[in-house]
Amino acid sequence: MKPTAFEYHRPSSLNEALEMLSSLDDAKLLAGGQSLGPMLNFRYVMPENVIDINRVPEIKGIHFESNGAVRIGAMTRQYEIEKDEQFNQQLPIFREALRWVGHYATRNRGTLGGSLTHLDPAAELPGLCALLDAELVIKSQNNERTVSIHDWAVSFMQANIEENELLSEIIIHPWTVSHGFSFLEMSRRHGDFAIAGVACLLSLDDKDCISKTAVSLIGVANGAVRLKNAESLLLGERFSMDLAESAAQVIDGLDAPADAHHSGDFRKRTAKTLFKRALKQAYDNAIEGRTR
Amino acid sequence: MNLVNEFLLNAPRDAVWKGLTNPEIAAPCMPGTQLTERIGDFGFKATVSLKVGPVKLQFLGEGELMNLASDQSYGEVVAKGSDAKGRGSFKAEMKFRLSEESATQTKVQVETELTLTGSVAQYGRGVGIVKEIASQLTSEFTRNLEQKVINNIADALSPTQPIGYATTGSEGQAAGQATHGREQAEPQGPSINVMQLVFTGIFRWIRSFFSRKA
Amino acid sequence: MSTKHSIALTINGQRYSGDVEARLTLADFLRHHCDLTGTHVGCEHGVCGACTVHVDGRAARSCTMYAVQADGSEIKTVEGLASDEGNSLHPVQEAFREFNGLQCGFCTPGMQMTIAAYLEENPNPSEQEIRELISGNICRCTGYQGIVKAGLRAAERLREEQS
Repeated sequence: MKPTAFEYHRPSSLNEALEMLSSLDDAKLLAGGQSLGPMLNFRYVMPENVIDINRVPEIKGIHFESNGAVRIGAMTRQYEIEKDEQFNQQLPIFREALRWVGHYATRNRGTLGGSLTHLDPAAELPGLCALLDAELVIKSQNNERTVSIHDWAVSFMQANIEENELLSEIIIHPWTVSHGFSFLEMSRRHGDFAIAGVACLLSLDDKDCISKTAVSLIGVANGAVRLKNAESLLLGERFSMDLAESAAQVIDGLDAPADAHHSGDFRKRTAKTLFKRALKQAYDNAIEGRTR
Repeated sequence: MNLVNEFLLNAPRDAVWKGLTNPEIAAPCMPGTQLTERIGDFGFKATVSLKVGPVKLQFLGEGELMNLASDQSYGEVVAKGSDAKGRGSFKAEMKFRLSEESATQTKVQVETELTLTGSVAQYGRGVGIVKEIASQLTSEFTRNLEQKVINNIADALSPTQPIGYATTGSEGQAAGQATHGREQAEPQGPSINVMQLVFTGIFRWIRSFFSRKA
Repeated sequence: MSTKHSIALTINGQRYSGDVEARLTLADFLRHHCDLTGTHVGCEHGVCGACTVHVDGRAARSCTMYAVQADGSEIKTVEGLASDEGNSLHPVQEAFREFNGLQCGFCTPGMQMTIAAYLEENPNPSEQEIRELISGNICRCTGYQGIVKAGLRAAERLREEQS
């Protein structure tokens, strides 16, 4: 339960980090260490080089742009996002979902970028980024590119990122229209990997019909999934539990792999129940927001 | 677990059979695979490098072709191997059936019984992911095999003028690694990140390949 | 033999240094190099919480941090909770004593470090909040009730101290 030996590098600038990524063979980036640490300790991964980016200043912090976009440095700790009041004003769903991300102590080290690059199928943060159509800025020594979150997950726990690239920041455009939100997760113990989790944003028009909605699902498929088919069913409709019930059926169409913990069916059933509850909660939240 | 895959190759059955039952031709068609030893006519040893999410696995394996039908319609491969760093092992029993769709097209059905043990079997989501990866590997294998078989035919027809590879642009880069001029068991180079193939559009090509199946 | 790195850090207000392999976890550094065995090693992958310490003022798993990363940092371990050379227990420790918050004591340092850190941020937690907080710390003995009560009592004691 101890890692194999590795060479340790600690760049103090982004350029230095990118240079190391380009020149070092068989290197892994060490961000919060809450996912890589266990893998190193278990010897699942045995890289020759570990590049510790905890002291790279350019990729930390939350910036609020004048055009409304929120830019979050990849090394921003999860607790920093949780505590930021201005962030919470615009994106309250994060604070709610972050309660479920790991545990209190892991959120002090774990980062947004780390979670997004690791892409555990039950991870909450990729689900939230999918919900909000986030954009990811990827840098390498000689290149920079922006990837939509929807093109980010290439396959099971594999992000659209090369070995010489680094995720530097995440750009989110919060909804400007008044909306309700909800985040619900089911796990055996609080903080365990999710059996299933649903994130929902919902806006109502002046006739109380759903004018805009986004729903994403975690834990069920090979990664976070935007339930676009469900969203189409909901648009323009009046909320009702019957509507929620029929929209929830899209979850049955998903590929849900079984694993040592739960069958795919169980995850889907859980997901459908959470979907209905989340939708109701987001709806109630939206109504409440209007009458405030 | 049990996996079933079916493919249509644009090559005559005779040529496909010859390619499939020759480890020196077939083994390098599997992504990340390097043939290291021949054992008689039907046996072989190979290393298979595979990246499953964050984990780079290197399986040291051996296999044997068995029960090859004289009418080139059926054959089996039994293979087993373990991760060089002790993270698990696999055993695969593959049954493949070939049938002539036309003079230049062969249908290949592969049924694989795959057993994974060790931490590699438990990591992440287990069964479901393995199925997905195994399917991707099988498709890539078949595509490479088709390319190789076609090239072999072309070379036989015109030995001094190798025909340009049908793949173009970015698709060629990754597929090319498996098929470009490698008639013998030359080293395949560093492990191939199966998932990286997606960037080159191959995955989309494979998807369309599936939609053609019977 | 892999490269050794020179590190220097502050632990419980005292300066420590060492030459360590990069792969040495902070937990192992504390226990073996610094003789601070109060920090316990349970799962070595961040889920059990027994290894929880404070790094630069925040609770963190010392099993998923490497000692080299803590170079220049301020660490607090359970040995640093009490004051006056151990003669004066921290309110969290007092509360654990009051409510039998431990039996074998293996999870205790992690529990106390977690609760102590949290109460600095949230001095008036609800029972639900304490329960959610300690979900990252596994206890095999107590069934958690005493720990939850101790957590609430510790918050109370700290509030009394402030006023």
